[in-house]
Amino acid sequence: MVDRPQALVRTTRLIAAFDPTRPAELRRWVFTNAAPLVPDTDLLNAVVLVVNEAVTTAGVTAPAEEDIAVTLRRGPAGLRCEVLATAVLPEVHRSRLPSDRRVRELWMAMQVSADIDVHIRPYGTGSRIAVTLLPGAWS
Amino acid sequence: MSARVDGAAADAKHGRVAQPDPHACLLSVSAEQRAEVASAFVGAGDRVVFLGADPGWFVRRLCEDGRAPAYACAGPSPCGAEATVLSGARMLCLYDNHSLSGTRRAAVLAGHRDLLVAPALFDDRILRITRRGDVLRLAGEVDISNRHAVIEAMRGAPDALMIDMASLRFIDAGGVGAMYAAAAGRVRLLRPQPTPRKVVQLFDPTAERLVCEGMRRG
Repeated sequence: MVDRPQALVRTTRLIAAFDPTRPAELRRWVFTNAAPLVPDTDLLNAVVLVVNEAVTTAGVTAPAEEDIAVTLRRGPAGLRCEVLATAVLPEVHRSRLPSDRRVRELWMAMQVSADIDVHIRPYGTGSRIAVTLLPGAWS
Repeated sequence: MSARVDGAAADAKHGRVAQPDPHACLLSVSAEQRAEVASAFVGAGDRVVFLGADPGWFVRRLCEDGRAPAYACAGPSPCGAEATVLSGARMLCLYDNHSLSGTRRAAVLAGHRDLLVAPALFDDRILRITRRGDVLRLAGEVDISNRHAVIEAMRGAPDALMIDMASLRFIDAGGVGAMYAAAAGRVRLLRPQPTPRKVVQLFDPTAERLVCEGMRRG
């Protein structure tokens, strides 16, 4: 049996809200909380970039200025970050440039690393943007 | 590059340089900023004495600026500063702000007349933009809150623009898009870190306007 780091054997869930017009604090939060799980700095920076784009996208498509809720889960299933958007946004596919310009910057950010998946699903009256770093990406 | 050492410098080497009183200090947050301000502090034709462990970076910066150093040498700093530049009758002590405790910082400020602030085109504590000749230098992070400042700086710059990105840790896709739109011609991006470089190359894969040169590890 191989000992695994504590961060990998139990799941933790963190929830916070951020001002999408000033995302520096969000980046600090993601970096700090993802770092124990993602030792590869380039991969960690890529995660931060994609989550930053997800929150920025949620912010610029919102009908009014509002904080954006972000949930970060880390555990044996990997790292998953969910961003709630008020607007209804289209799904993004890695291999297809989206025709909807609102999600192009998010699509571009997900091209930085093949280990990061992004899915946009309907959620209530808006959308949920899920950014996933699959387990094994950092091993 | 050549640094001459004369009698005054030799005195400095043995800790016998008179300390102008009062004098200025700079609490820098990066070696680049320290070199930038120290270089700007030296007037044309000034006799210069450098006190510190390694005058190389300072002499290099003066040479890059097209000003041959008159005198430079290593020696102890009278104020315990990381480095000190004596230019004519003026003296500037340079400290690394990150390494100072609160009480030490207060003591440094109390012991100097002026606190110099490095001139910047923009500084919101997330991103700092400075300009030296044809080179814009971006340090920190570019995002939706400050990309407008990058655009303004680029528009006020000459056509043959270079942007030093070595100290830029983060730029989002929107920031790169804005730079692409603001580029009057081809813009040379010097020493970008890996993630910013990837974003630039995804946005402009043929380097039509944004050309990455050199590599800097993050």
